[in-house]
Amino acid sequence: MNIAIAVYGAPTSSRAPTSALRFAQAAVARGHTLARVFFYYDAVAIANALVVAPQGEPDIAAEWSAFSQAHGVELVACIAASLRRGIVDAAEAARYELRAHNLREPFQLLGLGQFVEMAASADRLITFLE
Amino acid sequence: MNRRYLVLVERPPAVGTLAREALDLLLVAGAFDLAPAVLFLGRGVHQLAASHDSAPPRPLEALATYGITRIYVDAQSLRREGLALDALAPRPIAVDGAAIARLIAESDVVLTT
Amino acid sequence: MTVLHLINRAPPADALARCLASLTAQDTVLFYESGVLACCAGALTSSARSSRVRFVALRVDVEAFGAASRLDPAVEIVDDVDFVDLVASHQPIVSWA
Repeated sequence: MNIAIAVYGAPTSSRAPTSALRFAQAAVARGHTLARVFFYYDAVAIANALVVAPQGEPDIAAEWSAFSQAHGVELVACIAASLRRGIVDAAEAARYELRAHNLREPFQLLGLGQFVEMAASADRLITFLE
Repeated sequence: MNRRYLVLVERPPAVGTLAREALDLLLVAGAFDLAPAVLFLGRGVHQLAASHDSAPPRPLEALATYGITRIYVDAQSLRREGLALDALAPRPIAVDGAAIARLIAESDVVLTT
Repeated sequence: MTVLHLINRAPPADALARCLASLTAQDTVLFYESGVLACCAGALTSSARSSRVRFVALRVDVEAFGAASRLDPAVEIVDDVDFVDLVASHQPIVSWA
């Protein structure tokens, strides 16, 4: 089955990204597909490449990136929520004449329409709240 | 696919940008023709408390234009929050736990905002 | 299909009370993260326990919170793979805030 995952909680204030990753790993191991994982609200912080996890502490953002690359799962941060929170890709940095961009690989910035399409086309939607 | 969607709004107004972002998700669901039902519960019922001097106009005024016409509010949350049904706009239908259970069970997808 | 309800917070968050008021027989409620503290002994009403609803708690979080010995007897502990299977066998999935 095709499972859509939404994550709302930020790594620094919530366990949502960790719980969602455990679920995602188990889902893939069980043979399900995850077309996309959509990060909204403060959870977009996970797409900030400038975050440095202290030595000896888990790096949930790096774990998500590795999982995405290993299994071909798209990681999407809501573009509007990201801009509000200072997470920008090269295109948005150019558009708004910002001095830098900081989107972590392999995250993409997409609109809420992509969240709704994901929810509408998957067999199941599960949301990890903050 | 004629799936049935229910959107839950539990976020109160004016919590940084979170309240606005919750309504954005609701409106986009409408814009994409999901024709969702929406249920306001917990402190989210305050989103429906009409504010006559709001500028710009509250996003909820737009619900009908987005094809969102089935608007519900949790009766118990209304009582807890001290709000009267006729003080709410757009005018919702008040539902109890059993009706909410039915709304949920009849939905294919529940989107918590 | 039966509904899967998710609770990831403990009181004073009101999620559990709202969830319990909106259950249908055969639904499943899964507690995870700090939500495992919401299903400790005495937290589930007798009407909840006698309803034909299954209550489960995610093992990783039960262990993280040291809650294993405190869970309501009606609550079963489940693993990550069970969580996935519950998602596949229920619709819709409601995350209660």
